[in-house]
Amino acid sequence: MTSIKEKKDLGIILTKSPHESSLTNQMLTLATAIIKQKKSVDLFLISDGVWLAKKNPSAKYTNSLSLLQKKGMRIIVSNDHLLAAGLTSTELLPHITITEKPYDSLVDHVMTEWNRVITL
Amino acid sequence: MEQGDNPMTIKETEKQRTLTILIIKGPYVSESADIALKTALRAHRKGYIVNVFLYLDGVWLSHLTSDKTFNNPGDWLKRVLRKGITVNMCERCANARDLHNQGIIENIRIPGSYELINLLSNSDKVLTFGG
Repeated sequence: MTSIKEKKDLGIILTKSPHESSLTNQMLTLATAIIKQKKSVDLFLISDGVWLAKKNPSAKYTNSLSLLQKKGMRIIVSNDHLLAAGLTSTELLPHITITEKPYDSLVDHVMTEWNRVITL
Repeated sequence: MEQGDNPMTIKETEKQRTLTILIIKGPYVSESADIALKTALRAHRKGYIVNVFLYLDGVWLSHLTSDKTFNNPGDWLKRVLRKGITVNMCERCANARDLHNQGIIENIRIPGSYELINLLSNSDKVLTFGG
């Protein structure tokens, strides 16, 4: 079976929850700027970063995330950390990729798919 | 990739690529150290050359020498070392925190900051955990 890994210009690894710091806003600003430059970006949520994937209609970042997804940003979330946070897939934003092997997935993305990577 | 290839197989050229993982936060204050070390182990298992560098408060990981009945990032660090992954610790950061060769986990190298520059320059990818 052929398998083509989609290359992305930038991977962003987010380890912090939305309200823990200003990093979420910085991440959204960065991702938006990247996409405006016609480049591609993925967002990998791990540890407390998985909280960003939770549906929260009243949060400003929810709209921003949906817009970024429509423009091609893929959101990948660690299942281990979803379980630790007590989050189920029904509570998450649509079109999220949940990875059952977060560390395998992270290494693959970093080493073979992302041209550059930043950890926040 | 050609049809029939195992998508999980790392090509030989990929196996020679180097990943450096920088840990700048100490244990227990966050999950950064655990995630960093687990990532290092997985990358090593996939065949990449992996370096771990303990910097700033990340040097405190070296101090976790004893066993614990709860999650212990020191155990993860020892596992990384047992796998043959190179672990360096910033000399100045260690001195600033009174961490010396005696009283830290064995087989951690303690070079100067130049080694960090060297690693960063020669790595294909760098991950920083703990910012």
